[in-house]
Amino acid sequence: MTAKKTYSGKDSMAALVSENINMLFVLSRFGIPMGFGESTIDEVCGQNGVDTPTFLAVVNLNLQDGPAKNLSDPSLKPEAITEYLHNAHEYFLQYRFPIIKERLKEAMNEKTDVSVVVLRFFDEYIAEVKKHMSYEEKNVFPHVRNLLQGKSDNYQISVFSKRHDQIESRLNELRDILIKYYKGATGHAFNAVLFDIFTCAEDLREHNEVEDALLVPLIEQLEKQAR
Amino acid sequence: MKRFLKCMIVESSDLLYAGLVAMLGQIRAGIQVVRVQDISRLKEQVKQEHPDVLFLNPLCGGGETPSKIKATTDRPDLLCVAFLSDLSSLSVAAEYDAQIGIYDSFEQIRDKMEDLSPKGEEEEKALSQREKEIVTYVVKGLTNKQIADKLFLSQHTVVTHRRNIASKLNIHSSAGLTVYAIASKLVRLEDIGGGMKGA
Repeated sequence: MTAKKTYSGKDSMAALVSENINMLFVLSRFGIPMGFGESTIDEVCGQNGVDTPTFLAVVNLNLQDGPAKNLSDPSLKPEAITEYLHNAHEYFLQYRFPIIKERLKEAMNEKTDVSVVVLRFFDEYIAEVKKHMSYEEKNVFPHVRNLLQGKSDNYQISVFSKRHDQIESRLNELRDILIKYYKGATGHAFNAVLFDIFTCAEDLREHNEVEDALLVPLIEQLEKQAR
Repeated sequence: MKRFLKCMIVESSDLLYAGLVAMLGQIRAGIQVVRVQDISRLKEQVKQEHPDVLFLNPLCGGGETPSKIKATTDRPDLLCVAFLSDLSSLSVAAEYDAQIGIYDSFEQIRDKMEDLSPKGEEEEKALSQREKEIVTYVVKGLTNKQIADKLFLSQHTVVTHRRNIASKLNIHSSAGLTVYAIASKLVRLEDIGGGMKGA
């Protein structure tokens, strides 16, 4: 169903979304509302004050199969990417994870040993992701702002690349444990939350790709120029 | 324990030989055993039969040592296990890959055999008894050192076991291992107490 291709500014925004439903996430993180009628990607971005090349870079990166290549395109706007990532952080921490947690509780409504440790696992996971994301908010994003304003700080993006954990793999771990070992009630609610976990992990993977393949190379370039 | 399919035994006592064969059969079905009757033909038989493990009673070994056997038969991978019927052989037993004694319990012998196997190419996904034991200690919050002390293993062996467990189950966090252990009924919630709360 998914149309795997590369989109350009002349393509229809509505087509992009109906052909790739997970682009909904990208739109809302760029702050683009729905209802774009027949407008092209270029037009919709323009109306909403979004840098089209940066938008397309994120879109096309997310549609790419396999591991992402470094896309160090100097015309991209680093501040647009950090804004996008910041919105994604809020979405995961304040919306997506709490919903999954509620649904997990509902799906495993009897209080068994397994449900207790599954919820503990998820709480621990949320704490870990929160730590990871707030590190970016406190260190990486201000560093980008500093670089753009020509201010120097002591941070270097190479430090980040090293401590960049694969946060989506922990979620896949939970998914696989539930699939393989969970023996409690498995009704519609359980299937639904499993599905949520699956799509959330995929969403996180794409989020990490934007950091690794778009933001990190851009910052490296900015750091080089600043030297 | 794929590596233990073929065993060769050097033991002159029929009673001890039969006992060892019976116990190996309980540890793993389908084990093939070859007995060496004439120690002077040991190396020749190793080359011919290509066993995975050699059980050798040092008293019956006619001065053969694991290093000599491995070198002359060109079998550096051959696992040599000292089969001790007598405490006086303990001093020479140290250079073997493992030692089992006639007073060892079934569980001890089984565990020693399992400890020998992880380096192998085995692809079994199910955890061995020993690995399950280690999982329960890990989720109870014991350190590698504490687990090693409890099971009389080296810390290195514990680490190897943990690595194998992680790759068999594809679970790399202790929280994940805890869910696995509870769901597989290896431990109960009260056994792990507050071991991982908030962590």
